[in-house]
Amino acid sequence: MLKELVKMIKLTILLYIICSLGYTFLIWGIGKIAFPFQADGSIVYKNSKPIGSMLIGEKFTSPYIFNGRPSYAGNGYNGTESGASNYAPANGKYIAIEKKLIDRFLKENPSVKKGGVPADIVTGSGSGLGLYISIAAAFDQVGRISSLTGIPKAVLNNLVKRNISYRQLGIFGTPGVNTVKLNLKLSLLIKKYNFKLYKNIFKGLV
Amino acid sequence: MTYTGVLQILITLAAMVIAAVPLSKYLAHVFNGEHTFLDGIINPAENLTLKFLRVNQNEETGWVTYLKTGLIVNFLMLAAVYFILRFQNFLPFNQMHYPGMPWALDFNTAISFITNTNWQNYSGEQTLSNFSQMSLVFLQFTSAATGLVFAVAFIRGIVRREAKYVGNFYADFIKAIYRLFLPLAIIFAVIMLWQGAPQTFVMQKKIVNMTGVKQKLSMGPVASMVSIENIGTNGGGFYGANAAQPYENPNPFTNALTIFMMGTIPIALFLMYGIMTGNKKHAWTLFAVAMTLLLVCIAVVYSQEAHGNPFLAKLGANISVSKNNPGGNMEGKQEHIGIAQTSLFAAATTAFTTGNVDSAHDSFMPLSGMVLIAEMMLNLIFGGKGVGLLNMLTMVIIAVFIAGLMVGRTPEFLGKKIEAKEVKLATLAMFAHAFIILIPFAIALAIPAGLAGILNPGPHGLSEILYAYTSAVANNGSAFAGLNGNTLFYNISLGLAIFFGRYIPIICQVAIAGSLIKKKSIPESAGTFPAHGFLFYTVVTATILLVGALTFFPALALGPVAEHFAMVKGHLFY
Repeated sequence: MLKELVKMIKLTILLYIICSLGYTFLIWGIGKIAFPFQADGSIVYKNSKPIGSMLIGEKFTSPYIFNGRPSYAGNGYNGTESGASNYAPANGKYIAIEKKLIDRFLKENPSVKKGGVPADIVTGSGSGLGLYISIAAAFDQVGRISSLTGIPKAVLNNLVKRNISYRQLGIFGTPGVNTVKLNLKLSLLIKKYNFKLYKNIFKGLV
Repeated sequence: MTYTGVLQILITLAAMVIAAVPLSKYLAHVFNGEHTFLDGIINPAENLTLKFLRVNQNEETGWVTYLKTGLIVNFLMLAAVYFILRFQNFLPFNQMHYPGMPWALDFNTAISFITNTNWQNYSGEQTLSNFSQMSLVFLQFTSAATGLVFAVAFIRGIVRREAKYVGNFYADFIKAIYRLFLPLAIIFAVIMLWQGAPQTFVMQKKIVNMTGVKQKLSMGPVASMVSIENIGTNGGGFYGANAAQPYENPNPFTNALTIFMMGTIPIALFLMYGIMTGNKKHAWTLFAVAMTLLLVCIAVVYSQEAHGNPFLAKLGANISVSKNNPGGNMEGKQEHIGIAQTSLFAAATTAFTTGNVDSAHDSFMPLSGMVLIAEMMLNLIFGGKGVGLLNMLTMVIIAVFIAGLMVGRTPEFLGKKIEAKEVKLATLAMFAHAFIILIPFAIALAIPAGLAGILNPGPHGLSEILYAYTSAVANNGSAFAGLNGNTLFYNISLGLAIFFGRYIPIICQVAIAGSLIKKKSIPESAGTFPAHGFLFYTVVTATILLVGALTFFPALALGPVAEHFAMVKGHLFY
């Protein structure tokens, strides 16, 4: 029996070394050599300072830029507290929160009619860190951004169109707009049209 | 539901089945000890390992020793990881100085990972050091291998005639890891890395966003964990939100790939069983049973989620699909991944008992939530590593027994007589599963400590608790995450449910193998009930549905069904 137990302990230690340490370090090494950008979290730099990740949503609440979905990750888009609301569809408290969110979206974007608010822009994503919004949700914000920044609607509509992420391989997923990418591009436009505003909104870029 | 939605579901499923066919042949070769194309690389490593362990792989043992060795090895690994988590503050890769895990949470977590459950009462990025996450990866390999080798032992029990020995546990275990899990885990980890999953030892990065908002990002060796958590149908992710966190699942392609990773091996095991028993028609019939159930489940979930939440429509949201607006029930879902992929993911993760989630199951419509719970209650729609096949075969034994009773003959199964002992063990395995779900569920409903964890009021609260125990016992690990499980009561009761839910059925099933292996083969006659074809398919499906419905319907009626009808009437719960 003791002999058997020694075998089992040896098996445990050996597999720990292979499956935990060896395997993790192997993938880490491959990442270092072949995919350093992805391995470090797809971080975007501006003036050699990190300003965000191409994969993680950010708190875009200013009316001058494209807003993201509501977030339940910590106090909103906290990259260390991923999580969803977990509200059930018929939870009265949830519906009360939704009423506020929908009414606010309608008020902020007068061009949108009641019954036309895209479902995604008033609901939380699965992790609270999702950075995609539907194409409709992006177009719906164009009127507001145009009147606040003075950028013509046609220019903004074009911006949205050029930044649509279509289905991958033509099949997988649902088309949407990456808000981090979109707002970075928007920052260039605002810089051109209204430099003072640019400095006020994009504090992280100046 | 859209045409493209249905198409991407079918393509993902088809890819799994197509890949499962060659994989099943490979696996049959591996466990029959035959030549495979990887021999050149893996044979030397394997021989060295066996030499180091002083194991002679030709020295096979009976089922009792095989089972005992497996269980003790499991226990040793459980203990090792328990101590690593408990004392992670003394171990490396802990830049955030997270304290050791509290004992009750640690008890729950260690049991959860050694049993392939990966129920998580903690949020990974806020609780665990990178070293602890890596130790969980170790269990993700070994727990998957454990389930697989017990299934192999069971198959040998059916195949071998008038024999005693089911195999050598060490050799099978090493083979499962070296020849299946490690190579696949490495390949898929690299793909996930390429697509954007981080792999670093930095735990947190502080940044200032373009708008000047400060943001902290949690990172770590994510790619390596994402890969094995799905290949091993473990499901325990690096982050609290699992595959809903973009770092674990950066885009729709990785979402489909994740589903592919979890489904391919369980399907291949069904087909491997056909090759090893020399009865492919039988295996394909069982495949058809499981696939039918899976398709029905996907259809319900997808149609419910695509239909969306009527309450939001009343408030002014547009829940119907149009060119630029995907609509549907988007609460807790990722926009770019979309309703179709998310529905498939949810139905797959509960079918293949992975438990990884790319959305908040708690926010699903009542009937889709019910389907997810039901899939785990049945626990045989391909199921997890090995155990899904074992559960299916257990149900087949019961089906064959019932069919035998109806015609008044001693039931036979693949040339072996099914007698009182096997039927008793199969029934015990089946009832243990139901009992360990329903009894603690009833207790939790009756005491304040159980009710305290509920987030959503009304019948949905009941569903949250039902989901928790079903997920624990089915070794799934997904959750209606509104339930706060990190309390003394839930840590202990769920931990115990996971433990007994895993090992009691496995012990019964390996015991069936031990009993079958001794039997001699009886030649097929005109009166033999063929174990394939439409009749067999119908009998097995009917047995599964009848047994499942009779056992679990009352609980489901009180939760999701009640909630659905209240919702249709426009009733909100406060």
